[in-house]
Amino acid sequence: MTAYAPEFVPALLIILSVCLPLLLASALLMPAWRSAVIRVSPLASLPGLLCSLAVPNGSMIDVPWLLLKSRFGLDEAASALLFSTALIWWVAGVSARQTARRDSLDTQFFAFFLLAMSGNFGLVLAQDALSFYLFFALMSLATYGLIVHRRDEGALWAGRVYICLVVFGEVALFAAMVMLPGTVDSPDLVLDGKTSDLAIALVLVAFGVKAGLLPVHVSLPLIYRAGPTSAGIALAGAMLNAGLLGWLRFLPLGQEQLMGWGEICLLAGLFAAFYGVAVGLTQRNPRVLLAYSSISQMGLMIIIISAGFISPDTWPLAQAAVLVYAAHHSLAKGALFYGIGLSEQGTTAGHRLWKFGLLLPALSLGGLPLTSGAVAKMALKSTVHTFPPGLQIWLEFLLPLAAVATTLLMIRYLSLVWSHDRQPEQKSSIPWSWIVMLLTMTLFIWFWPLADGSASASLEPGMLWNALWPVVLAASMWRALHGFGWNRVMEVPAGDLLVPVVRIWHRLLDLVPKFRAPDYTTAPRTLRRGLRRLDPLWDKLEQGMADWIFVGISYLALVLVLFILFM
Amino acid sequence: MSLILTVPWMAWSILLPLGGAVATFLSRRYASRLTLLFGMATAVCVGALGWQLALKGPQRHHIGGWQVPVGIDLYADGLAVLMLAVTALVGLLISFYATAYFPKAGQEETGDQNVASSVYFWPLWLFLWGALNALFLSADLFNIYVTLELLGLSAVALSGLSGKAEALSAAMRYLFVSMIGSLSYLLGVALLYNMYGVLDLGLLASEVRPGPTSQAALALITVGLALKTALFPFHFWLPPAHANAPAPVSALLSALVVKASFYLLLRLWLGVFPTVINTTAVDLLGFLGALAIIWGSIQAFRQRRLKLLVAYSTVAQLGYLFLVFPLVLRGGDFTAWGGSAYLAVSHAFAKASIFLASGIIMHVAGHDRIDELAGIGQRLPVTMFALALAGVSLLGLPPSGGFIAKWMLLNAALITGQWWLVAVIILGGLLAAGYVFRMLAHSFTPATWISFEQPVARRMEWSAFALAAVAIALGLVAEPPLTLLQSSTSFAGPGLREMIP
Amino acid sequence: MSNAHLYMLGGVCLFTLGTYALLTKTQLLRKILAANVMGSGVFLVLIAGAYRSPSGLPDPVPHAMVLTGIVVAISMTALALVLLGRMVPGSRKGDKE
Repeated sequence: MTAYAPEFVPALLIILSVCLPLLLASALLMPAWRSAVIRVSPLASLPGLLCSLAVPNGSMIDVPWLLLKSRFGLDEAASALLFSTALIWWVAGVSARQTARRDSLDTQFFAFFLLAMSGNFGLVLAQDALSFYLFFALMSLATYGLIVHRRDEGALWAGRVYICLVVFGEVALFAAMVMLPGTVDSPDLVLDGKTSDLAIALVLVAFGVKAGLLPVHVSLPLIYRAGPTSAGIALAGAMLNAGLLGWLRFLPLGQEQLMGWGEICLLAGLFAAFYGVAVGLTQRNPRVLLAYSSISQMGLMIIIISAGFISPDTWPLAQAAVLVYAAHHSLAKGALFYGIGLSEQGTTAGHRLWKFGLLLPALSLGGLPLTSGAVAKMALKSTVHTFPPGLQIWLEFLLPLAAVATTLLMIRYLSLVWSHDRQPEQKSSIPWSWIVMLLTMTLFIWFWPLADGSASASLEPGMLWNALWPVVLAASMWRALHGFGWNRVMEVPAGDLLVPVVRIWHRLLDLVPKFRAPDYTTAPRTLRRGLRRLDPLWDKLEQGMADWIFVGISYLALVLVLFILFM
Repeated sequence: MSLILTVPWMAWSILLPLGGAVATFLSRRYASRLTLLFGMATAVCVGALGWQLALKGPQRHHIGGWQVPVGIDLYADGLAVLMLAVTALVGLLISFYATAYFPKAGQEETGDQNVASSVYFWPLWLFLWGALNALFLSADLFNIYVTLELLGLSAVALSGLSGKAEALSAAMRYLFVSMIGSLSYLLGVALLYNMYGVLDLGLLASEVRPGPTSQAALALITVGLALKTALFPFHFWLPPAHANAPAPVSALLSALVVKASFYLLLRLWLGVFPTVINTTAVDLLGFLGALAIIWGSIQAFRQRRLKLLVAYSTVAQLGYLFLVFPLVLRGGDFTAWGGSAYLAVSHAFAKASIFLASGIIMHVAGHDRIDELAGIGQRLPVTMFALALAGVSLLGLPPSGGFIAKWMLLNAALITGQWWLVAVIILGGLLAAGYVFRMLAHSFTPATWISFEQPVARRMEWSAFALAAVAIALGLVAEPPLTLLQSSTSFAGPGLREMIP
Repeated sequence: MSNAHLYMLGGVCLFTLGTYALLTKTQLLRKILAANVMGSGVFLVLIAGAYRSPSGLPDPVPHAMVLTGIVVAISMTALALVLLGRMVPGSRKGDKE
């Protein structure tokens, strides 16, 4: 990374990373420019990519006129996530261009796409609370447009669930920000002073909506399934990490020991790690499976985050580990998602390169030696010793099991995707963007200073064996399961918890006499109908207030009450 | 330079629109062009006034050179100039929209019902503009009464412009409310004058003391202005009046006119009568504001017609403004009253944009029944985008002026420890999400067939869009307007903030 | 109680009567008249106030205010009558049939 770039180049790159997608999005308003903008839209992430490579850590620009004094720049967390984020958005852009249908909906899709991209870059680069919030909201809202792009029933339902959770998350975040010490007045994202428990809970939930925290994870499987491939790549790769970054930024990690929160996070993470795999294994749709894999992987990252509460002194080490893990996971997930998209498009039918290319990210997630996954697992493992001894024993035992589970899930994924593959109808080719992605995913971690220690440690013979046996065990377990007839196992519906919740909601509505809720796909509409039941009451009250007599009485009453109150 | 500093821009910013009103009434052929011309000249005056303010601080102008107490004063501080600037910008964009909305004077023989309205729209609107500017600048209780009446006259006439039965009866109701409101105000003024013998706000502020007369006068003035601001439970007249008027008129009424009487309440309560008001009284106003937020939002959510939905949302948003009173009096300071003023400003832009956009939708679809608007988003992408942006500001999501304002109000509520207001602000945001989403839902509904073939003038779409863009920009660039606001002082001399015990 | 106070009280009574009528009467013309009564009440309060100057000479400012108020009241009444005229079909000169 060159530290010799002139002063204004870093500043320019930081500004362009955020503004170029915005500018392109506004250029879509001009009908004449639309097709050209759509053609160049993958390049909108280029400044971000350059920024992550060329701009040294610690470069900051102040924008005093924006909001209440904004600051953008790169610190360790931002520069660690910027590279994978930019790469994912580039790949997503290429994929979006491939599947563009050249109709009026395209313009809308790309507008949302570019806005979400700008939001994502903005939140990564934001160094003050308000800007982070602004760009986080921009990304969250623009993503709605990506999810409902297909306009079929599943997409609209996913969009509804998503937007409800987003509004809920935004309100929680807003409340949390007001409560957090030091976010209101100072522009910096530095938390000073004691953070209240309520604020911590709100931050966890607010970003958990994006990062797939149980139990607010329910929208993840739905939106992965509903959106087009490009949206899925961006969601699974880049936007998941936005939630993670939110935690890193707003939680008081590494400040004081908060044993209670640490244990809550640890347990939640462990539970999610296995729950995600368990539900994911039953899935028939590879996209939904990937969503559950993300929930499980985020569980592992939450375990590392809990270290920031339990042993604050060693937090810098743990933060580096979680960043390495997040970067690895986002690239691998993005590649897996792209793989599904390619097979659906039919461009890869029967292609060997595609078939074996998919092995790479899949086994990397399982932590096969020599892959980025092995390094990430190593980083994860290196944080174990920062936990108190009582917890260490459990983690030493459970983390390899998690690796086995993840590998099992990935084998299931491969079997699903491969079995959907058809015989080649015509000569097909693999897009080079996917190959670039695979190569980057495999190689980047070996050249990354932040991952240096873990990378070399993962090459030690003992570690190689430690990384290898879960994969081998998982493979043999899969054979056993397959022979047992796994495919007959009941599929847990996508959105698991959501289904009973919606059912209970409808039961409750049924309790209201003379009212039957229809199919759950219209839940918000039933809410509106519930309100309509009260229509006569509202109307009566409103008409009553429009009556001149009522006006007269309230006029007189208010004058008298005010007169008396002023005494 | 010296010209800018010495010319009485305040007087010109009132005289120009009034002169324009006469000119457009006489020359109907060029009415729309004259309006734009006079409007731009007024905007220039306001700009120059702002410059004066920046260089020399708050300005006072003695009309005709007469000193108080005999003469009448105009007074401009940051708050007043900001309101003038908002009026000018919103007004110009609405005028621009109206040039395409109303048929040209030459096409009168078509027998269109809009023709009668187009003839009178321009002079009435300039008349209204002059009244607004005079109201914002007046520093004299009786002069304020006159401006209130001018405002009421032109607003009522504008709201009945279409001549349709519902519009006329709504205008009639509006007229009666306006009459009761301004006569209550005048009775309050009469009591105050009999007691203190002064009308100038600055002099009054230094002389006023608690007592039955002051109490009765302030109670009458407050209720009169609350009627005109459509504070719950006096909101009954607003939805029909705003929803049945032509689109540019709805935009003017919702964006600017209702803010004027609120502006007076803010000035009088905090600037002139801080010795009379107390915490129980401000809590009552805050409580009514909270009820307005909840009631207006519920009603907005229930509406089947787009324009009624938007009008009820005005009722809810006006409720937010009244939260300022409990917030300031318990020590909220600039965070509270600045936030409230900023909400009034950003709501002006957002609501004007939404009403103009609904006007376009009504023009294209021929109706504004929300459930039958599927597919309109594909037909009118720019309008839909404007609606979405303005909706973001209404919701108070970042980046928007509404966000900054609610952020400030929420902070004030937390600083002063008024948790019930925190709850109300957040609940109001959630309810707003409900009706804004309902307003926008049809842009995402797929249309099986598109029947909206009416052509629509581009400048109409872009005016609505520009207004929404300003509402968003107010969130991005918040420092300058807030600094301008902070330079406000009360009429008595010391800053508004120092007046509060 | 001085004469001035008596007049003032009378003015307030007129105002209250007018308000009552405006709110309870259903016919629009009566409402318009009631509003005028309200206005007269306020004017009476103002004029009575002019009396109280210690020098014995009446204060001219309330007179000016009442004059202005009358002009405003006339314009308001005119507008109200025009609206009323439009609401009643066939009452306008321009209306054919």
